[in-house]
Amino acid sequence: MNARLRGLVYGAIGLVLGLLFSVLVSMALGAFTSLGALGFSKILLSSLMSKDTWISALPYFVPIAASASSLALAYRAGFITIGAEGQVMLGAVAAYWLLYYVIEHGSIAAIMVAILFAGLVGALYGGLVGGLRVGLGVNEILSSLMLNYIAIGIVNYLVAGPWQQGGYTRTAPLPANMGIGLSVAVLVVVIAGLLLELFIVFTKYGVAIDSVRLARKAAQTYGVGIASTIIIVALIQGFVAGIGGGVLLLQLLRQLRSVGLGGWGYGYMGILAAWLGGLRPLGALAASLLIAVLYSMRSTLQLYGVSDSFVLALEAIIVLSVLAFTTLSIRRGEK
Amino acid sequence: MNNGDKRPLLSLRNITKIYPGGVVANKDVSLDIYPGEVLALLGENGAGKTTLVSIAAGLIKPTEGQILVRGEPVVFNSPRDAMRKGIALVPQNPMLIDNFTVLENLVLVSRLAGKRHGIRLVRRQLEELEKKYGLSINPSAYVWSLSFGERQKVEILKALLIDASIVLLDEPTTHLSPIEVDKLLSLTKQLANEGRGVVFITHRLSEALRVAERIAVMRRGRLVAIVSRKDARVDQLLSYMFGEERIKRLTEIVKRRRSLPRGVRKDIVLRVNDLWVRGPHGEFSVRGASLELRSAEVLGVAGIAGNGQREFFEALIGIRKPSRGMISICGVEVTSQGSSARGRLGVGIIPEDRLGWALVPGKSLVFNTVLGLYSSPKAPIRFSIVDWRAARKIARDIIRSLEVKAPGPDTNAESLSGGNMQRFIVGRELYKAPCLLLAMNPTSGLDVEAAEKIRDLLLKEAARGAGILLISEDLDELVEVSDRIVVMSKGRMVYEAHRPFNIDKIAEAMTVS
Amino acid sequence: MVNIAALLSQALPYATVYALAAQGELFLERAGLFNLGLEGMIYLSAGVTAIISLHTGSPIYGLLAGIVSSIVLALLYGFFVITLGADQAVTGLSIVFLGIGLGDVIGRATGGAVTPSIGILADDSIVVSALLVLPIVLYLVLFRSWLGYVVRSLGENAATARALGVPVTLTRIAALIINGALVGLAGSYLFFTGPLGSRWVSMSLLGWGWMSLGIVILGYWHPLGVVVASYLVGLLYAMRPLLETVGIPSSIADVTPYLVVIIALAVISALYEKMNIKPPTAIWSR
Repeated sequence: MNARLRGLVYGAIGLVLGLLFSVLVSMALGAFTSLGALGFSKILLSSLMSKDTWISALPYFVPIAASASSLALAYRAGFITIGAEGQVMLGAVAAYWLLYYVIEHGSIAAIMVAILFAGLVGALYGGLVGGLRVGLGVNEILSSLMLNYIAIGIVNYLVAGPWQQGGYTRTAPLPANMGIGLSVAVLVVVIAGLLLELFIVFTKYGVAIDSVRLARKAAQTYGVGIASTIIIVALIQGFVAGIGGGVLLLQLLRQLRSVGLGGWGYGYMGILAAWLGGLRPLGALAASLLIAVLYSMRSTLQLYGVSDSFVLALEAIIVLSVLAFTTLSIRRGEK
Repeated sequence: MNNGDKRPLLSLRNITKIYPGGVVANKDVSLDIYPGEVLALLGENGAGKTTLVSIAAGLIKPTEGQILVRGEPVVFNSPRDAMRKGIALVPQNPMLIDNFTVLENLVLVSRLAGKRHGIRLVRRQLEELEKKYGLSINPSAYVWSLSFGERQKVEILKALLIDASIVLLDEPTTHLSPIEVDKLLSLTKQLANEGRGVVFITHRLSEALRVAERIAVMRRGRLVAIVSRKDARVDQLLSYMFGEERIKRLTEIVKRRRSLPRGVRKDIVLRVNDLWVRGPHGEFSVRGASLELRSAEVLGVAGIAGNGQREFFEALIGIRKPSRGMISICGVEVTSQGSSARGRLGVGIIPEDRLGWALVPGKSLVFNTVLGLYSSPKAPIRFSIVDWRAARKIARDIIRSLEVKAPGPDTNAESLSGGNMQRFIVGRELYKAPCLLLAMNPTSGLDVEAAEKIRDLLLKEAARGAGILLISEDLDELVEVSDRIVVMSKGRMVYEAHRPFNIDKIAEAMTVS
Repeated sequence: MVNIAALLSQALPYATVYALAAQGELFLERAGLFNLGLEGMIYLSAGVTAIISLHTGSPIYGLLAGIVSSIVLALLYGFFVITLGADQAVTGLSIVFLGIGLGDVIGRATGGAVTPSIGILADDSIVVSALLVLPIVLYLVLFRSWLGYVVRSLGENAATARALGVPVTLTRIAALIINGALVGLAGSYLFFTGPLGSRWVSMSLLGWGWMSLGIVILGYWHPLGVVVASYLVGLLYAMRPLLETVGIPSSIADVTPYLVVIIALAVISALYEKMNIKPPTAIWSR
């Protein structure tokens, strides 16, 4: 068996074992909840088996997958941004502003322009992180995080100030004609993920990106611009995450509301999905679906009195156990 | 010397080391080291000498076999254990913490070795050692600011500070000037005269004969002979080192090389004028270097490691910005341009480190082909799209024509042996049909045959018409292949030599400051 | 007129949380590992502190339990990074999610009841240790003792350190325990003295761990720098109400600490390099 195939097979074995193990650990962790391990297991399994859960997960899949597939690209270059959260938010803000305040009608062209504009604003926000890294040596983990909080501040300012509508801190909902259906939203994100995958596999930037992470000096020596690669990656990452935000607004949110310090969380979940998907955009899409399903379970759990943040722990468990089992399995495969 | 009435300080019994991946580095090696003697461990690169002393120093664990210190069996789980038994290793490349001062490094080591030495005591001991051995060093200097020779001094001080009874010197002369070598050899003898057992690893026969009472020869992981100096014959030692058959093959290679056609020297392909380059810590490492190289010429740059060669090389290949001066390549001024400008001009680059600098570890040979050709006009890239089919074909051609031992183009670059890696790298750079080839220590760490093959390839490329700049620490290599040699010292070109070379003059120039 | 003295003292609780967590992280990063999971560790520790104080009636037991829970997460991180050789970033980020998820489930089980408080004496002694004692002790240990050389050698070059005979795994496990303990203490302290004072409110204790990571950089991996940075950021927090009184919307005032930190991150490193203070090479090099 050649080395590549062997690696894939052992990786797949690790993935399956990791997923199974994470289900077991999750069940055991159910003991922390008011349902107890057994009761929680029942709900977990029946939710995972139900088609409805998967369909109701799709609206969340959209921003998570846009974040995850774009972050996969960034992480491949060793650019550990966690800024997708802020980019999704600002993408939504940008799309809202353009449609509601500037274009003011909902033609297909207007919606397309709004989505692209969301991407553009996301790209600028991402590019800022890349620029700070390249220009001033600012750690991208921290600068992107601070920018996420600033994005929260921007949303909170808008919904409690200039864009506020009525007594609550929120904007007016978009009129019915300004929007897109779920299938279109999913399609947009899947196409974006696919394009990212093609970008990595078939363009020279894919080679540049991997070299920058794995052997920076080799990349430099043979003509790859480190700074330009990081900037390109940061822009594309922000662009796709921003599009995710725009689509999220047009399909699910329809209006902006004030946000807590935890943010919306889609960008953060996207981080987990990016790693879970093996730092490949297509893998990240698949992982995002899984993460979105867990996320959509939170309303079911709330019905039973379980804290909705419990799903965050479950998501972490999945990532950690898949990480553990794939590492062990691939290591065994190399022996 | 009569060893009969002395017990060995250190005994290695039937040591076998098999690395993961199946490489047998040591096979059933048994060796005794006696107090008061210098034992030379002789063998070419890759013969397993470093593995053996690493085992004795607790750096790696043997697959099989036993270690005895003064007759008592020991198991080393860490270098700490070995140091506590009085064994100190002076590694080929000093292993010190760069951002620590000399004193911090020494305190750390002596504490780990179980000595209760405080900072003040170590400082005082350093003064005593300086008086006794003439090893002077500024204890508050940061290690990164030291030259190679000074770092080695720190390593030796480490051994003395923990009062090691067994000192293992791994290729200690690699980065030293001829004068420093003399000093080191007499220090080595002094250590033995004090009753320590010293193992002196070298691949240079002359050094072994100069320093040692007994010479142990290793070949392909086995200990093939131990001879005392007075019985030693050069031709016999050589045949122990290489085996009759390989000596014959090597002589052939060298003879054939003499008859290689030379190309016609024409245009200047590299011109460097008054180049000033800063090193990683902001100090000037290259201080006004100038040279010219013509097509079909091999220009050797000699010098002791740490005299600015690395920064010079990095400036030439475009990854370190010069502060002043001019570089022009194949008629184009590229001083302030990056490596992609070199790539477009078709410059071949063979860096010092194979993994991480020349090749991306964990990636296939095809991937590494594309990266190597990334900015070259011959890259299998059209409008930013990689033609992986074409890339695979190029990789396969390189593997075939340079006899790279690899299962195929999809092989992980990391899994190749040093010689095969280097042949692949050279093949990739030659695929560019370069007008200029920049190489730094291209044969370091390779066994003799692999090294000769690389030298052959360079000469053939020169005959085709490329200008070759060869920066090397191996003076023998430079003398063998260069048409002209310049000597680099303290960041400047201080001497230029033409064929036939006067080696003494060159060696002298290397130490001029 | 602004009461400066009051402002300066209002900054203390914030600064204490940051100083504890950031010093814990600083120590670990000096040993060559970076744990991005602080946010989750603080959150879990706060949740565990809440429930144990409530059930035992003893805030000290709560505090200890919080510390232990945080150490467990730190060791889990160590298991993945050291034993399995997993990527530090993804492991740390997973710890964030795990800690927040578990912490919230556990904290909510208190039903928002007010737990016994640690009292002014314990409160003050934590403040003093975090802001005065700890930085000096850490400075002496890290930079003036051979044990500190052992730790810092790992942050410089772990492979070389191993060859010198430094017990790499053991040292790192010790560093992880210290990391977990200090971060856990930060979480417990935050629960007792934080915005809601000894009462669990979900999602009200977010952002502290992340900011502490930034403070490690602002203080440039030096115990004294970190404590100064902690206090300055604490001051920024304490000043938010002040900004609102001069007419800045609260949403913008809330953002100022992050804005200032991002600007500071951009300009500060040159300054430190001039003072010959260097980050651990393995963690960060410019």
